[in-house]
Amino acid sequence: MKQTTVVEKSLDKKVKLTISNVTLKFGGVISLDDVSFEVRDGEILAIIGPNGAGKTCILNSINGFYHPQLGDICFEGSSLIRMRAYNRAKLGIARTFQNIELYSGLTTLDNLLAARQIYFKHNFLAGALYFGWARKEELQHRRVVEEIIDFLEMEPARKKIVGSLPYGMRKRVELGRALALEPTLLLLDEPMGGMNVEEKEDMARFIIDISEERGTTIILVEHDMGVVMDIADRVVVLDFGRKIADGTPDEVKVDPNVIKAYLGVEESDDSRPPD
Amino acid sequence: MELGEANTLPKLLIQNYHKSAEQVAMRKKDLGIWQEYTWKDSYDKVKYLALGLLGLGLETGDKVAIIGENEPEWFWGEFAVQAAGGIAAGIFPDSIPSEVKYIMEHSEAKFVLANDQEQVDKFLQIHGDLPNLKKVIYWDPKGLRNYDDPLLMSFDELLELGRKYEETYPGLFERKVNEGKSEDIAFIYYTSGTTGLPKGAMVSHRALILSNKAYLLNNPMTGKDDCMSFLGAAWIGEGMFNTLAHLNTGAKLNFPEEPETVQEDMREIGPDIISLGPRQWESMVRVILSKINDASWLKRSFYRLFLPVGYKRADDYFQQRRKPNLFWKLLCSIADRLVFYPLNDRMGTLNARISTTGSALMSPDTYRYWCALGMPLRQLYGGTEAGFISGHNSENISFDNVGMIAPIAEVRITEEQEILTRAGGQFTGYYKDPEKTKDVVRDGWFYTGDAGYITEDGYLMFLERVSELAELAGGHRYAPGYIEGRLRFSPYIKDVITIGGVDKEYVSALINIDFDNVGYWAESHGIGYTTFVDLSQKAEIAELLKKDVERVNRHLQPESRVKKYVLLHKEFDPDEAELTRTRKLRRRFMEERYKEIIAAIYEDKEGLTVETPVTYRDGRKGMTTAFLGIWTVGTGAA
Repeated sequence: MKQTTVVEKSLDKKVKLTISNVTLKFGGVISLDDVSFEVRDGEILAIIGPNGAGKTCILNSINGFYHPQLGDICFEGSSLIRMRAYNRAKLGIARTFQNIELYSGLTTLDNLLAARQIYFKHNFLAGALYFGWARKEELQHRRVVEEIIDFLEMEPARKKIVGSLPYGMRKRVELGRALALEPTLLLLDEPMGGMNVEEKEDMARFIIDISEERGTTIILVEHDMGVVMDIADRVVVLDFGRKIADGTPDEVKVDPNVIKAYLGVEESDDSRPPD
Repeated sequence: MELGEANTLPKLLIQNYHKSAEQVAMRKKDLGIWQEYTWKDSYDKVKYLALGLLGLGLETGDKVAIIGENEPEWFWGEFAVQAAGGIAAGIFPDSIPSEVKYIMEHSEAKFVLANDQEQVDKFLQIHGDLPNLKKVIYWDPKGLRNYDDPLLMSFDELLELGRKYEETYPGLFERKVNEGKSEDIAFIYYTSGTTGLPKGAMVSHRALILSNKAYLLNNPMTGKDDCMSFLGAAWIGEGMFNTLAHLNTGAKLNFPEEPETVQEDMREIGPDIISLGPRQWESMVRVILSKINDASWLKRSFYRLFLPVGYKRADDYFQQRRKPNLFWKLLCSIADRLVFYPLNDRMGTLNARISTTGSALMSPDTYRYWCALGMPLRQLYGGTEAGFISGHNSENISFDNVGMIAPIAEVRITEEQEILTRAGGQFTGYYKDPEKTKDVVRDGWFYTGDAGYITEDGYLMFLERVSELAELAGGHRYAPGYIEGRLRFSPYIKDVITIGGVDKEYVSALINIDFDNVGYWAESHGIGYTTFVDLSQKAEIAELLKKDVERVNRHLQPESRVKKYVLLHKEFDPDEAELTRTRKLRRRFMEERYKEIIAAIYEDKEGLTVETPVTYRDGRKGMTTAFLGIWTVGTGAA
């Protein structure tokens, strides 16, 4: 197996997240098989691989939906493996889903405010009276949410019911909700799935902006190779639950293991990018 | 009519500042809240921006281009440029880099005030070709954090520079403003140009102020009034009707949060004055009609029940002008309470005391509709070159004519029915193009190129562009714009161009369906579709549109009727130069572009396969292929 190559740019940055020897099984099915890699502070890491390679399993293991049987996941030096999902959110890990998971009967604004719940300190009664500290707190949170609405250009959708929004905008609302948690690590599961070219371009720009302006570390699962190669600093490739490559987009593109996994040929000197 | 002591735009601003420094001058929605700016805020910004520009080396007569959405900074920038002795030149924010480059080269602008990253990127792309360009100053820093090009500068940096400059040269701002004369050029408006390259029309302070004063005679306003500013700021309409009314009367300018949120923002502000172009009024009608389709059964029934009441009121109003009897008054007030007030409230038009339209032809149906909703639209007639010529006041609103000729204007009609004007608001000339200026201004009269006449009781009638009255093979003359305006009233038609000419026996139409509304109709009738192309070529859709064509045909002389139509596979697009940036049709260009379709129509074919080159906004080119059906309107309909 090819040795791990780490981008020079991120070498001098400290490690944000370490996945070490993680194995995840469902009965007899091995979804992740001894997977290890590191994510460095501030980088955009893409996880790619054919269908069923275990990409989403990694995200689910990181944010606590799945519990790997073996191995360890360390976030900023402390182990996540025994921690509950909502505590992991409080640490600053947020995610979006492949199939949009929003409160479809609420407005965009309310969906984003709901995500702020973990930061609210006042109790139910104070909130109902909307007085003093509760009022001040509400206004603070509203400001954070409004800044996200501005950042993701969602003004037209602010007071619309989420269920009535077009698909591309709902994806954006979901990203907004993840940002409302003020994460330092953002997990994006196919943020561009089902989008048209223009929506994809917008989303790619937002992801880069999040990384540059907020310094958020991003792990991204995505099928669209063009996008991955454009925006990712580093790419991890999975196949049948095993890591087969890890490196810059240019390195991964020409990696024989990757070409084999995607094109299914035994030996080839074809250096076409996997697509 | 004469100018007061404040005879330039910056002087008017300072006058307002002295009169009502703490009053709200502008509002802009930001982070979901309406942020207010007083006249003092405006004054301070303008002062230090102007000093900053002087500090950067702006000299009297230098041009400064402004590009962006309508936001307070746009107008502070404009006034600052004028205060510093410069000339502002607006560029429409959706212009592609090549269009921006043309205007920049033509105007020789030294500085650019740009909205955001999107606009800044355009200049970074072309600035190698612009030797005159010294700085691009942006006001929205979002996304620009990592830009380190020395060409760029932020508004805040410019303001800071201005403050420092004042310490060295105290009193310079006041001196510069006082040097300004009313004949100085305030603005170069690049006319959208339905033919050829844009022309730079130079407009003086005097012309802008007089045009607006004449407009205010018909439409009196005060400092308590709210205006909505979202006509393109690079177009003279915004200057003549909103910006100058703001300066002349102190009326508040309100800016929408984003171009897409205009409707909601308008509802929150409830403006007293609404000035829109015909297309915008028509598109609001389409929004209402599709919302009604979406409404509950009860609401729909009320609407259907009371709309005829509204129409009767409209017809009374326009035709007989007789006083309605008590019964009708009662019925109207019920209709207003149950249907029209809530509807206007939804659209943000409930408080509108004055609503105006201008620029191009609007269909009488649209006038009638708005009047039925209780909002008679006043027409304005004028233009970038002519200035303000005529308009309605509250007493004489009509959809036949374009109102009484303003006291600042004279009008003459030539034998070819062309309207000539000579007005206080007339432009000074085309920048760097005395030849073209001589073409359109002879002996002080501006040749508008519009066909029209003056009625016996002194109203100005506008028919159509002289060049666009079209003739059919039999010698019959018809007004294409009129037919198109009528067709556009359909919620299913977004745009349309009619085809005729001396070599054609009859009129035909190329129609753009309104994707949202037709799509909704198709869904609710169980018709599946994939793309715009697919939807536009469904036989059911063609049937649906046929009803609209037949409805319009009923109002036309038999020779002018539309006999055939094609539902186009793509929308008309200003990026492809089919429309001007203000969405007027570029007729000759389109006839050339669609010549194969047109040929097929008149060869009596059933349809044809077309390949169309498409230019994307970033300049890439592509090809689309589609089979287009040609549909015939049954003779029984005629």
